[in-house]
Amino acid sequence: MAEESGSAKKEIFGYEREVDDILQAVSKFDQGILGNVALISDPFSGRTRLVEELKKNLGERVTYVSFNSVMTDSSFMATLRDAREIVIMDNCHFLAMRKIGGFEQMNEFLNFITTSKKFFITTWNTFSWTYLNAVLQIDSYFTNFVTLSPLDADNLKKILLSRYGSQEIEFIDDSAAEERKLRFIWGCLNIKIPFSKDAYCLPWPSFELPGRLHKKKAIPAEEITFERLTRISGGNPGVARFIWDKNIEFPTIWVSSFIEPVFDTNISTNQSFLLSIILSMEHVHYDDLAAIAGPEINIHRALFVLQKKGLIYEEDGYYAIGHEPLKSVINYLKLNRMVW
Amino acid sequence: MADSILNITGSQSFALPLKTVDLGTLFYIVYILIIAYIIVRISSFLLKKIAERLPRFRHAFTMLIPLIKIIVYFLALYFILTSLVEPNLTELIAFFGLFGAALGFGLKDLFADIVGGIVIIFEKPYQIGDKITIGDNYGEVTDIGIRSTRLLTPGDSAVSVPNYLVFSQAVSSGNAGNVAMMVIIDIFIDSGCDGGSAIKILKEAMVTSKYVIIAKKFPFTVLIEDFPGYHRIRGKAYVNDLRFEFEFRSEVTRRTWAELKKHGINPPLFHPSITAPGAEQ
Repeated sequence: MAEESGSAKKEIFGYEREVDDILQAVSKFDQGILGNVALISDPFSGRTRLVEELKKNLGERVTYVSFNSVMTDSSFMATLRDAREIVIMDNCHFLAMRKIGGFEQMNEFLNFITTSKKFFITTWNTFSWTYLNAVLQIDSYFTNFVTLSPLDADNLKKILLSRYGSQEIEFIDDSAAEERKLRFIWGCLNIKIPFSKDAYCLPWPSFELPGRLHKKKAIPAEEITFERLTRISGGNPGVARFIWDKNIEFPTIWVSSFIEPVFDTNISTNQSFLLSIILSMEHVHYDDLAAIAGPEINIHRALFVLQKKGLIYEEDGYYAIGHEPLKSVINYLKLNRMVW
Repeated sequence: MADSILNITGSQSFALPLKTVDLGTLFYIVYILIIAYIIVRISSFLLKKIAERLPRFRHAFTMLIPLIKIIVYFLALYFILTSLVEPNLTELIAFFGLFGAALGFGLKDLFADIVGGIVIIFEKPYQIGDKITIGDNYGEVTDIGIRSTRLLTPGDSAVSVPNYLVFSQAVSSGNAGNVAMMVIIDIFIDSGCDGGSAIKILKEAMVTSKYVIIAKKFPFTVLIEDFPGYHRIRGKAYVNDLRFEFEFRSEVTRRTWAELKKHGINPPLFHPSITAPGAEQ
């Protein structure tokens, strides 16, 4: 398989500049300049991978703390007190829960880092960071902010093809076949109205016949593939990789298999709220969701609807946003001001 | 063309070149009115649909509705007039002078409403979608017409307010063209209870609400004020969509009281004289 054949190759990561920025902040710390790091990114954008790179670079100087579910007690504080000079804290958004009394652990952590002489590299979900910053002004506790921005088509191409040998993947542009179907378009109906000499265009539904679409300039199939993949994934490397792996028929990639998925986001306020929580925390246990939802929300029904619409999935009692609907979910929640 | 002479004074007269009004002209006028009505209805319907699908930009779309109405109806009026008369510039000015005088004497209220409508559209004291108080009426503006503004009250009653009131009444808009709106929530607790804990609980109830929006532009605050026998804890925060004003208030109040009771914080022994929320800020 591809992974096996390319095992000797170093897979390109895509966020080398961000790693360098953090390592520069560490160098400043070594010179006595304190300045904690907040690494902020969307789900699936490669945050964990970046942390692995940092751990490799910083070696024995690091204590690594990763949160995988909501922290309801301050047991992690003991680890922080005994930690080495550099502390990498992954998924810090799990230190807070959107409920009354849900900010205790976060406040304790923030109080700790104000007095600590250690260097903290913390990672956060973008939407949790925005929310917590609005509520607790957490940006005042950090000096260096590193955001993982969406990647462009060239970078995604480098990342995805770094797993394979040179010219190993064959791209086939079968999109012409896809476009041979009869297409609905808006045409123009010219009308004349009594008080004017001019004809006016009234938008009118029309159909474009097959065969008229083949006059386009030829673009390489590889370019079309990565342009489509970037658009569909929103430049998110994790989502792009998921879609790539789903569509590849090794060693062939068919351009027509990259289609923008459509998700039904016609959901209620309660469902939107739960969806925003799942997006912000990335994977949440049912019990934590129930605690956040409170008695006003029928959580069983809400989660059932979200799952049925393909927006989230459940695994071992944890709920997470699917890779493919991520872009639609973010757009929908931003439009409705459920996330900011 | 049939001519008509209008005697203004004993010595002067204006001749307005009226066209022949036959069945065809009447059909034409009816046609213009129907077309204008259809354009207004369709554009209003489409803009409202788009606005509902894009809540964040709701006001940007709905504010176009009254503007389109004014333009379309004025165009319709122009076409109707030109189908009846064929004036040169002097005659047109004279005609509108007479028309204005007729409006001034006979239809001054209607004329004031129309002017009020134009002022509302261009000066924007409120827009469609705003929550306003005008006179004794409070509600969401659902339509700004040529003659009147329609409000949907919290009790789900549709109130039609004449547009000329914008000249004579103070208009208070809770959100001033924004979808988000500040909501004030008052909690009254016994003066013997811990006000600090109550502030923290109300603050957390607000910021964790599913209806809240918080940003530099949409800050929140919680204040305490002492009164004989009770504390008033007042929270101010923005609801992400003004349509959730009452749901937000209700949800935060319920969750706050559930938590206050856990902390042994009780309501005052006697009922404080509560003014209407938002009346004093």
